[in-house]
Amino acid sequence: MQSVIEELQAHHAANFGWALTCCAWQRDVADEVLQEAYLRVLDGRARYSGHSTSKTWFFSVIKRVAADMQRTLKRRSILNLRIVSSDAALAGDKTPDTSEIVSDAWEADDSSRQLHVALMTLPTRQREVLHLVFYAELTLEDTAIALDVSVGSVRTHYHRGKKRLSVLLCLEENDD
Amino acid sequence: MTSQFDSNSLVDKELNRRFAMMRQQDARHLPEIFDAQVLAARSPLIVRRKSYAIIPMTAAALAAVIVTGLLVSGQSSQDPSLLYASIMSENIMATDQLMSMSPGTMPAMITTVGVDITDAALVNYLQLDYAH
Repeated sequence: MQSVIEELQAHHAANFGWALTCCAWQRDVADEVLQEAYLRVLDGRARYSGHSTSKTWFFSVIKRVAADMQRTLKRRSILNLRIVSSDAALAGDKTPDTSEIVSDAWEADDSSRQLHVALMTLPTRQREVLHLVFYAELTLEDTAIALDVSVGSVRTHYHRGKKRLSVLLCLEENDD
Repeated sequence: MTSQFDSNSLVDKELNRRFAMMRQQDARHLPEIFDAQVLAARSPLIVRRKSYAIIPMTAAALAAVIVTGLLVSGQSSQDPSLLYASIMSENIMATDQLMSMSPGTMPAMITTVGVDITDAALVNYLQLDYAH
């Protein structure tokens, strides 16, 4: 148990970054996902098979928890939206503006903000692959294990995502 | 103009730099790591309800009871030949009735009522207008 906690502490920063990406940089949700993932690791609900590194395994657990959380929150938001819209209809109010629901990414400089925005425009899988390769510095093989997809699929998403990201960040023009 | 390889490596370098900056920023806002007791004590966002676990168990038990009941009640072994004979004798087929005729009568001897045979054509008496 002690070694698992030490491993979690060692990879805590990388785990948090991954949780943020999985939750579209909503910090509160990412915190909750991270805690639930750690709980699953500590109480044995998530089991380490030994086929990958512990870092990769933590990432796959976080990804799974984030997916579960998203499903739950989606169901809850649909319910809430129904209640709110029925209340608003009764009160004669307008329905709430969904544009107000924005990611609560903290103050970042222009470069990081630009990267956040560009990443958010990418398809989810490409965003995840790029994060794991560039942010978490995983190999394509470990990325495939963390995302539970084939290496070929990861390679495709990696190349497409990188190309698209470099266009969005105007990196290609700078290289010429 | 740089080669494709150089261009890729430059893009990689720039992306590495930007992601490293993002990593540093995230690290500044890193939440504290909780120990197991604190984690277990916190009320999670998703509340697990133990009563939910009863639903699939009840459904499985109900299904098992139904299947067992059907198997026990519906079992009556029967000889296939007897079954065939009983089915075949239960209903007399309509075609058999249509084809039946009294003994000694050939199909060619049956005449249709109201139809007479003239030189070249069949004339139906019912269609003739005798008023004119």
